[in-house]
Amino acid sequence: MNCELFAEKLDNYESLSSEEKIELAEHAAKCESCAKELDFFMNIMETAKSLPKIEPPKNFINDLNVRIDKEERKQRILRKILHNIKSYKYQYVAAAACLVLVAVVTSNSGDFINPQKDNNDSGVISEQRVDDNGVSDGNNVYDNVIAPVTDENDNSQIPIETGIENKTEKTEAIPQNTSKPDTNSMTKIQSEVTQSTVSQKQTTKHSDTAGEVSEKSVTNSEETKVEEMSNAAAQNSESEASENISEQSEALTDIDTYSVDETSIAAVDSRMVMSEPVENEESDFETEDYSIVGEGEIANARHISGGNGKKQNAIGKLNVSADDIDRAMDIILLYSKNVNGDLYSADATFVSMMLANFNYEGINYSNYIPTYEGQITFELVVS
Amino acid sequence: MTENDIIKKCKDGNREAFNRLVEKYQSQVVNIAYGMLSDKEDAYDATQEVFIRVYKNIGSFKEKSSFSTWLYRITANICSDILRKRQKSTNTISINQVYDDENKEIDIKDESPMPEEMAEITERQRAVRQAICELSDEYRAVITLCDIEGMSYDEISQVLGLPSGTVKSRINRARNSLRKILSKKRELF
Repeated sequence: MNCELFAEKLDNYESLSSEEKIELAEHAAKCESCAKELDFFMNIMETAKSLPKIEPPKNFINDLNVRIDKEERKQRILRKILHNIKSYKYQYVAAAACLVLVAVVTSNSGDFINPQKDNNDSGVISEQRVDDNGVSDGNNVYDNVIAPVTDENDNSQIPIETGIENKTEKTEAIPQNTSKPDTNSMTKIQSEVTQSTVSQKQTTKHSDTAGEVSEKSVTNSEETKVEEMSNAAAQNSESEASENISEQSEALTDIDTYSVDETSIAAVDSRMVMSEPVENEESDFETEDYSIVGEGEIANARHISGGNGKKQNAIGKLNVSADDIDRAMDIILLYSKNVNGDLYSADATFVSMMLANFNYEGINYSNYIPTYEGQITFELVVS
Repeated sequence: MTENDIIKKCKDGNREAFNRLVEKYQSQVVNIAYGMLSDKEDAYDATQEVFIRVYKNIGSFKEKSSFSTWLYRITANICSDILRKRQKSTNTISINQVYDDENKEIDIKDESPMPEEMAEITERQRAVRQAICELSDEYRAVITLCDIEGMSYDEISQVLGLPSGTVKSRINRARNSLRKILSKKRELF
């Protein structure tokens, strides 16, 4: 072995056989420079082996267990929230939708309520409500939520809560960006608000003639709807669900108070878009012309005012397979009310939600709903 | 109770059993981490991450294979992640940090060697520790597992997920690199 070969073999020390290692040692015994090189190499390896060990911190196991406990708690909460969201997302969406309608209408409620001022001392509109959705008298709700609107607080800064019903056509018309409102859709919204204001005034005159303030304010009906949705959700869920509803609405109100103007309506609308649930494509909604809820409620108001112009829809049909009827029944009772035998009644909005829920749960059904307007009555048929 | 019994209990969610495993392996894990990361605090953090991952994934551990290899593989992976993050944030370990770590350790373990010899050992160890710090991440890993921890090729191969041949050639290249870095301090050796 020469020095060159020695250097080469030393560079591949790990790959050497025992005999090759002996040859290296033998050469080193004869060659001083190669011996130094071998010593240097061996000392490095030995030093590496002898490097002092470090110890883990004294409370390592304790801290580790504390951290694991934390992670487990987090996982439990997350699982619960996800389960709630999955089970009750339609209720959340409906509740949020009602809240945003309340907010929109409240912001324009000055126009509705002011004409009443002469007739009512407190400026508060009392409410009579047909108990078609099993909801208690909305007076209390109204009193709690809506302060009398006077000239001072009309058009004032009021918080707007957001959310949206699952109306696909409606949301497509709404701008995505608050800073660039779509003037077309805003004009549409504005004109419809005005329209409902006009209708409201007309209805007001009518109820005055009838001798009782039976005008139901849009806000009233919306507030009671909110209460109803909250009740429905609370009945069917653990307490976290209802907490989540308020949390969600709180989260959604995380925008500064807006003045009631075009910008705020656009802001509300864009938030409505953002809170749109993802599975819209799965829903089985009938697309219909955009209609501000105000009109629907005014139609209901006409209902109340002595049965004038009460809508009589043809009776629809809902066909559910016997295999699915048990699961379907829970959903049917959630969204509608049994009026007689196999007849159920629900507002068009809730019928849509009910069918969407069927789709989500994989429940097989077929239905015939003559018109998605106002109150719908349908016959439940089990096949 | 054998290690397999302890592992079985861990799988059933027995925290006591898990803590026993931690007691048994925490020292080795922290030293592998320290070798790979050259920083004590990072090594402690990495060790905690390792055992949390063990706790979460013990269900997927197949009892027929070696627990220590599985554990060290997790350690190597977590250290790699930390090193990658480090590269992104260009957070380098200072030379002084290495010296301080070494000094503390040697003071605690102060025993019989003469002051001169002790100083030399300390200097040599310090120099090697520093040189290891200057190695590339992949060279540092094999030097840590082979020369510091004394693992076999098979185990290193499984821990790093490399073929044995690659492990061998990488050890050679790592040592050559170490020699080159330390050639400036030949007088210590």
